[in-house]
Amino acid sequence: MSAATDSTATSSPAPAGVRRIVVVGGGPAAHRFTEAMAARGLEGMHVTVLTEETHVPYDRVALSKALTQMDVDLTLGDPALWQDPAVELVTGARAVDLDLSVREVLTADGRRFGYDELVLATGSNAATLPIPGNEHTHVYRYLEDVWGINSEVARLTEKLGRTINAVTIGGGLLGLEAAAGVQALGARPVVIDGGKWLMGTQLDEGAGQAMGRLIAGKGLEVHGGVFPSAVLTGQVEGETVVTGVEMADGRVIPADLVIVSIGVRPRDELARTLNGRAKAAAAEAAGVPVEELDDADYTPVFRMGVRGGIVIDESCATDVEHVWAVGEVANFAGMCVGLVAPANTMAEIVADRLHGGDATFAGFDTATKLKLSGVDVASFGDAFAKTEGALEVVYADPARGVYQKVVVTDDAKTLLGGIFVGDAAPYTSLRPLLGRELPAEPGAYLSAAGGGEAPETELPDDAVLCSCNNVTAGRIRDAVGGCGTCDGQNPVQELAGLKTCTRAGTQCGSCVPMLKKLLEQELTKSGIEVSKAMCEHFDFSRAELFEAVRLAGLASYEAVMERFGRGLGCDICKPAIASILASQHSAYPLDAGLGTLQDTNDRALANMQKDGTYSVVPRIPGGEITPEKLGVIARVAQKYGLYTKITGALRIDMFGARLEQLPDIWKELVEAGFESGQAYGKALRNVKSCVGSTWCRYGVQDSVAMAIQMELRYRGLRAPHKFKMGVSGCARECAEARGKDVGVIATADGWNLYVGGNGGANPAHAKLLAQDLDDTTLIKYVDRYLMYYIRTADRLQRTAHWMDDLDGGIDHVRSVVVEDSLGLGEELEAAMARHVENYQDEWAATLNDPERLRRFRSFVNAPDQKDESLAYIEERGMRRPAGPVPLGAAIPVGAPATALVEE
Amino acid sequence: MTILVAERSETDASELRWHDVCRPEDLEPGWGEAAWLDGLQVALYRFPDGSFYAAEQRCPATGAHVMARGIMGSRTTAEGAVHTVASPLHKQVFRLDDGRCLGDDSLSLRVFPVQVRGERLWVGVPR
Repeated sequence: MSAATDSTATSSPAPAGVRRIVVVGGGPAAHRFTEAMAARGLEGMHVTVLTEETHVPYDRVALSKALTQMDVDLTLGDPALWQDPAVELVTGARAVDLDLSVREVLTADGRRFGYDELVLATGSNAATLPIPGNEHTHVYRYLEDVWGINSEVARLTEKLGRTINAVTIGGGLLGLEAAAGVQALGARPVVIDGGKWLMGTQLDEGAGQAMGRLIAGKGLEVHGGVFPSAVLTGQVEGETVVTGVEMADGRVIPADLVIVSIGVRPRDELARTLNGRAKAAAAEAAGVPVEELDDADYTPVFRMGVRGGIVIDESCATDVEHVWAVGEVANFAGMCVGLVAPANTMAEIVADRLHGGDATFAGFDTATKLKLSGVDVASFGDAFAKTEGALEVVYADPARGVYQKVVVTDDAKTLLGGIFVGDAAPYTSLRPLLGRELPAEPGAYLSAAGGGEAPETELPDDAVLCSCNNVTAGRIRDAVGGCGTCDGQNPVQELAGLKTCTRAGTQCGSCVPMLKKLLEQELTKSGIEVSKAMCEHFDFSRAELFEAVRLAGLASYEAVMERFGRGLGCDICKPAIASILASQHSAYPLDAGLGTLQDTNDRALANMQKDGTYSVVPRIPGGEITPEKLGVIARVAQKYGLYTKITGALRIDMFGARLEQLPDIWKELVEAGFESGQAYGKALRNVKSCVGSTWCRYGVQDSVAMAIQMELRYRGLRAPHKFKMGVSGCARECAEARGKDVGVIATADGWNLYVGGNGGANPAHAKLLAQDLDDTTLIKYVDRYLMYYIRTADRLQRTAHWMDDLDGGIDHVRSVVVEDSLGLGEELEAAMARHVENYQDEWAATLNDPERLRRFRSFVNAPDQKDESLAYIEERGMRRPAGPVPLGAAIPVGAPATALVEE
Repeated sequence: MTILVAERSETDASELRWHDVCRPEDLEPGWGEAAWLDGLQVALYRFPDGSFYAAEQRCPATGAHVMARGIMGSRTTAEGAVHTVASPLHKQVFRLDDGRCLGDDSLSLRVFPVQVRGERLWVGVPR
């Protein structure tokens, strides 16, 4: 039967006379194809993209990001692409059949899409394990898969009340990413791999051994060389739960969650359906049952690869006229490859061909670089030295977990490939030189061998710097110099702009360091200095100034200005210097020389509100407060007519205090035992905690006591940005510690330490830094973390952003804080000890000193005169500012007649 | 001794009403303070280089009376270095010599002439 006999409505969005191009599949290859078509112009054409997913095409390479950060946006490219009238994205449309005779695609819901050209970009499916219990495993392919794993880890952790065992079957690239992801989510990661070593596709044995050692060092448990034989399950409260994985050698590995990542299979079923139909017709004609028909006795519609995939030629055309295949479903030279770079190249080739070009596919670029829980791995080119006469120059240090190999031609001159594990630094500069003559001896690139720095070389213009998007060094130079392809013909001289303009570094990101270097080289060449200067008064960044001030032992603004600055300073450098001096000397912020530097809130030790009055926030460590102290706050608020509100940080904020009232208000609070909550400072705000094991029936540690200790230890600590902490008493995480800069979550064995989280405009989830710490080690790591942050972050840079900017991110931070790789541990702890020793309550110190109190007078010539422009109205039993602060003639100023409540 | 510290050329001195405000040393270098001139709130600034400025205490952007509490500093402009103050609310930076806002032409801060006459600091406000 022909598939076209069904007469349901035909979808044909394209107007008559327009060339209809239909894409089946909505992954990165489909996206790139559509983008490439639009970039070349769509006059007289219409592109329809049929995707079974409900999402706009997203970046599957970055899928692991969505595992730990559910809300991350992975949308590929500019979403405006899908608004183009000549482009249509049809979601929820699964193609199930083709009718070649009338050139139509049929979808599962019975719609038909007529085409003039058809591009198959169906990608792959995650392969599943043919073993019992497979139906209870997770795969790692779509957004829904990783979201499912994320919520399952959380659900099981809460249900079981302990760290769960998450087993990943498959020790390839994706499997290791999945294992590292579940580890970051707080699960115990176990990897089972049938091969003798991890990442067998990319790594040779030596590299695989080094990799295994490093991965084990990161806390991943690896069982290699054995295949699993069954996923074991049990029944708990009517629910089937996974209990373990049985291995071929009879061992049972405990598991609460199993992820299968053993590779992908091309989704070539459309082609198979047509081939099956052709075979059936041939069998019928020959009068034999289909299963007895020899494959040689019929001609398939599409030629297929031995292990699947639709065969394409170098133009990316299939055997069927007007049908193309790109990406993972395309079989070229006997191979399907699950990497984004070749998929992008194929998409560009088909777009070029449809525009009358003659681009050809030269073969797969299988270069891979990734970073797994801090382990650098890279493999590219002829990594296994299969080229005849190829030489392998190797450095291996199994003890350190370092393996570096460069593969060159028999004359040791031309670069053929390489593998790097543990230290992949040379990869970024080597990668673009693939197939070219190396500027130096191959051994010079084995950086771990102590051969020194690889020679700095200028990349030739035609060297491909970003292989994902096929961007050459020359194209980047053009953009830096102002080639005019971007807005306003202006040179693009910032990294972010350069990425947008050229698309280099926007996919896997591994070429970004090289991109940055090339940009800096080009800018230096054109005489432009790459300025990190804070403002016109200093040539330093905050981190540089911090070090300079520390090394020079400077303790006052005047000294810093005289030594390193110029002019009279400004609202940018002055608070930054105040913060640096405060971090290094714990000095009282309003003393001579410091007071004049302070930003709006620090200047009054209170938070300025829209009408110029202040809010007052006493510290309530860990959110624990006695009824007596609550009474004090109530009385003070009543007496001064302050508006009260509970803050998001478990404290009570009192609004509407005038500058000259602050000392009186604080006198009453300090006498009752309160101290400043530093709600005004770039400093520790609070440590939020849940009620913990003292009351809660689920709590496993005393989170309140830990929160109070931490708040008292780090109170008053000045930093480049405000920061918050949280302590949760169990994995249920009621204190939302992972939304804090420093988050501590109790485990049965101690504390897990998370860092780099925040709420606000750009929320970030904190990442796991160390697990199962005792109290002393926890505090030691927090000391080091905070001090390292304070020393090296830029002004107003919060911990999450700071870690993003650090080379190596969380892994670098872990090496400094946990492994003490820079040998700074003791110094950072000593700096924190000095802070703790010198802490004083800023408000108590203010009240004791008439010189300091002088700073709170309202008018130099009338210290008790209040600001009469303030006006309030009553709302819900309290007062608030009367609408917008009154405008109008300022001379003379009196209270507006409309004020309902006057002071 | 009379030191003319800041005087706007467009203001006819005869139209000013001069207020005796405080002693110069009542102001700390770098720390702005408000003054009460018969109901008009004025912000006074003393710079470490010995210069004095006066401006309206009302922030032109928000209407709140806070300008004395902004951070004082300097900026380099086409006409050379100028003394500035940044609004403590939304950080607009104003030149203290003529009140122009750097970066937002639609805003300007009223500035007043200041004189040190003997041991007193005087501020001239248009009548």
